[in-house]
Amino acid sequence: MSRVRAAESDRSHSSETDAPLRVAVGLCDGLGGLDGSLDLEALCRSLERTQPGVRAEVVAGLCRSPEQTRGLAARTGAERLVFGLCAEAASRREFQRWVRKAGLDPFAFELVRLPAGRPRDVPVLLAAAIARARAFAGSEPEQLRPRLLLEEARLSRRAMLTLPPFAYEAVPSVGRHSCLGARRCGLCVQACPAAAIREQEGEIVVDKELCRACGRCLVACPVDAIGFPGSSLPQYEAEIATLLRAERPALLFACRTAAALRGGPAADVWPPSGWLPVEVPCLGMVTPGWALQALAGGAEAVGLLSCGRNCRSCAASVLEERVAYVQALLQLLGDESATERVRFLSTGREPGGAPRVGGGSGRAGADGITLSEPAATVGAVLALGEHIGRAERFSLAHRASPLGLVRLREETCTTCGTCASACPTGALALDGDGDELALSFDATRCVACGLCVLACPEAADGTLRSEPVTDLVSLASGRVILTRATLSLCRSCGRPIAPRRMLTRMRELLGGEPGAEHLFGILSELCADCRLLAPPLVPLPAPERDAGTPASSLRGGAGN
Amino acid sequence: MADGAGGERVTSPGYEEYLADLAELRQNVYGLLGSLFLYPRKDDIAELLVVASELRRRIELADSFPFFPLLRALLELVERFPDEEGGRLEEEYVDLFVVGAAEGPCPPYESVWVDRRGLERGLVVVEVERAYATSGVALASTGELPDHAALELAFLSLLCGEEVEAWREVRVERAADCLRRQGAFHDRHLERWFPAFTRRLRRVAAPTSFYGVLAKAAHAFVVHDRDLIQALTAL
Repeated sequence: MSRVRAAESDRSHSSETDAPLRVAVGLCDGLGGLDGSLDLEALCRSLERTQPGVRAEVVAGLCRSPEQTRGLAARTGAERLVFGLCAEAASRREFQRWVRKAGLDPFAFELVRLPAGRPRDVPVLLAAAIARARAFAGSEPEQLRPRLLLEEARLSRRAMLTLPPFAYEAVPSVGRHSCLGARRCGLCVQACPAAAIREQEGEIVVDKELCRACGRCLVACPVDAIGFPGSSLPQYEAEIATLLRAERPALLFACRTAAALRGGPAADVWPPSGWLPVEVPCLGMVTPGWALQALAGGAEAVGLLSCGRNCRSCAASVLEERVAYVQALLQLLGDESATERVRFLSTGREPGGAPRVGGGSGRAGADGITLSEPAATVGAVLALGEHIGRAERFSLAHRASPLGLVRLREETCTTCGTCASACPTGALALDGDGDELALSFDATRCVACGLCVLACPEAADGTLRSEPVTDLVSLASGRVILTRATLSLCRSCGRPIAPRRMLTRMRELLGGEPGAEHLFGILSELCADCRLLAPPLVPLPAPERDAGTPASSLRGGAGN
Repeated sequence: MADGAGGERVTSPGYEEYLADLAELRQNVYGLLGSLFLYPRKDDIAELLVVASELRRRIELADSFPFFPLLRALLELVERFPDEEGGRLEEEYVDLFVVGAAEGPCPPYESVWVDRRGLERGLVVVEVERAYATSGVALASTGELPDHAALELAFLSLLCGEEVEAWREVRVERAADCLRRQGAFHDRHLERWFPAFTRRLRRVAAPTSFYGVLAKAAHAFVVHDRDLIQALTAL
C-alpha cells in the first residue's frame, strides 16, 4: 500500500516501535466436535508456524465462557486477540467486556465464526482475522461511545463490580491535522446519512450521539483523514489481501446486520457455502473500488449482501447501482461473465453458493489491496484492463462511477485557478512557469465531487462541467493540460498581475461604466503593490468644477 | 431508571450502589487530575499521595474502562513524587504552562483557548464563576483564576461528590440532576477547550515525562467521562 494513512499518522500515541504485534488465537474446542476432519491442535501449530508472533491455543468451552479471554491474554502477553468460535457463542459485547478487563483496547479483538464442514476455509478465515487484528492501530477516546447495558444492570452489585455493565461502540473521528476542513472539502458531511458530521469553528466534527457508525464518511474522505477503529481501511485491506490467497476465492461483503441475521446460533448457516465473508458496518462503505480491487486481486466472484430494503444508512438502490456499474465496467473490459461474477444479494433471498464461472480474472498483478477511492477503482481498472486485455478504450458514464471527468470550455475559462483551489483531491492543478500558466487535470484523482464547478466564477457560461465517467484512455494518460494562459506582468516590477484572459474578462464585465477604461488601465499595467507606490499611469480625469467655485473650498477650507 | 409511584424514579436493586461507587471513583479521579494541574509545591506532595492512595483503593472498579492503563501509569508516577529530583517537576511545569518550551506555552486556562481575542476573556471567566455559583460553590483564594483547569476539574469532582451522596441515599432524581449539571458543565466549558489543551500538552511535553502522561490520562478520562455522563443521563 503506497498511500500514507493520514488518519493513522494523526494518532499521537501510536505504537512507537516497529516490533510485530503479539496475537493470541483462541479456538473453541467445540469446533473439533462440529467437524471431525478438523484437528484443532494441528491447526494451532500450523498457525504458529506460518504466522510470526502468533500463539494459538484450544480453549475448552470458549464460546460460552468468554471470561477465559483474560487467561488467554495473560498467558500469551498478546496485544491482539482472535477467537475462533463454533456455535451459540456469547455476544461480541460480552467478549469485548472481557477483553477490556484484560487491559486491552475495546476493539483489539476479532471474532470469527468458523463454518462446519469446510475445513479448507478455516485456516484462511483465521489468517484473515489475524491480519485484521494486526492492522488495528488502536482507538482514541474520541472514537469510543459507551453504552450502559440495561440487561446487565439488573445483575447483582458484585457482578457489576467484577464487570461494569458498559459496552463500547466505535464511531469515526476526524484527524485534525490531515482534514482539509469544511471550506476546502466537506465530502464527509455530504456522505453522512445521519447528519452527524458538521462544521464547527472551521473544523469538521462528528456528533457521537447522532452517528450511526456506517463508515460512509470513511470512504468519502479524499485524504484518509477519518479514523474508525475496528473498521479502518488498513484493516479491510489486510483482511481482503489475506482472503484472496485462498484457492478460487469468492468474497461476500456483508453488512453486520445481515451477517447477524443469517448467522444466528447455527454456525453452518454463516458464512454461506462457497463464500468468504468480509463483514462491514454497512454496505454503504463498500464502494465499487472494493469489488474491483477484489476482482483484480484474484477473486472469482464478489457478492454484496445487504440487510434489506429498510436500511436507514444505505438504500438498496444505491448498492444495485454500484453493482450495475461494476458489471458494466467488466463487460466493457471484455469479461463475458460479468453479471455472474458480481452480484447484489439481499436478505430474504438465499445467497446460494458462490458462482463458479471459471476463467476468472485471475490475479491481475495487484501487489496489495487499496480501498481508498479513487485509487481503488483506478488501480483495479488499469490492472484488469491490462490483464483481460480486450478493451483498449472505453468511456463509461454512470451515476455510480467513483471516478469523474472534468470538461473545460476554453473560450470562457479565465484561468483564475479557483477550480484548482477548490479541488480536494488535487485532480485539478494550476501551475505557473515564468509568464505561462497551465491548468491541468488528472483523471486518476477525480472523484466527481463537483466542488470545482460550484467554485467556478464562470460556471453560468458552462465553462466547467464535472461528470461521473470512467474513461480508460484518460486514466492511462495521467495528468493532461486543459488550457494554457499568458500572464500580464507588472510594468513597474515585472511580477505577474493576472492571466490576460482574466483581465480581458474583467474589461468585459466593466463594460461601458464611467471610468472603466481608466480603471482597467491601472489594473492591467501594475501589480497590487506597485499600484500603491507608483504614480498613476493615466492621469485622473480632472474633476468638473463649477466655474464659480473657489479653489480653496476643494481644499477643505485650508485657505481660511 | 423507571418512574416509581411517588414520582421518584426507581432502579434495579444494587444499581444505586454500583453508580455510587462509580461516582466516587470519578470524584477521586477528577480530584487528583485537578490537583496535578496546579503548580507542584513540595508542601502539597503529602496531600497528593493521600488522594492517590484513596484512588488506588477503588481503582479495580475502573480496570475495564479504556482509560485505565493511562490512569494506572499516572498513579505510579505520582507515587514516585517523593523520590523526584528537587525542582525538576517545578521546572517542567513552568516551561509548559507559564513561559513555554520550544513550541510555546500551553496555558491551562479556558479563556485562552475559547477566545484568543483577549477582550472577551473576562466574560469566559465570569461564565465559569457563574456556573460554580449556580451549584452553590464559591472560589476560595487559591491564587488562580476560576477558569484554570485545576479548578474546573475540582468543580466536577465536587459535583460527583454530590452524586455519590444522592445514590447512597437512593435519591435518584437528585443523582440525575447532578449528572445533568455535570453534563452541562462539560458541554459549556470543558468540552470547548480541554481536549484541545491536552492534545497540545501531549505534543509539547515529552511522552514519558510526568506531564506527558498526565496529558494522555486527563484527555482519555475527560473525553470518556463526558460520554459516560451522556450514557447515564440517557438511561
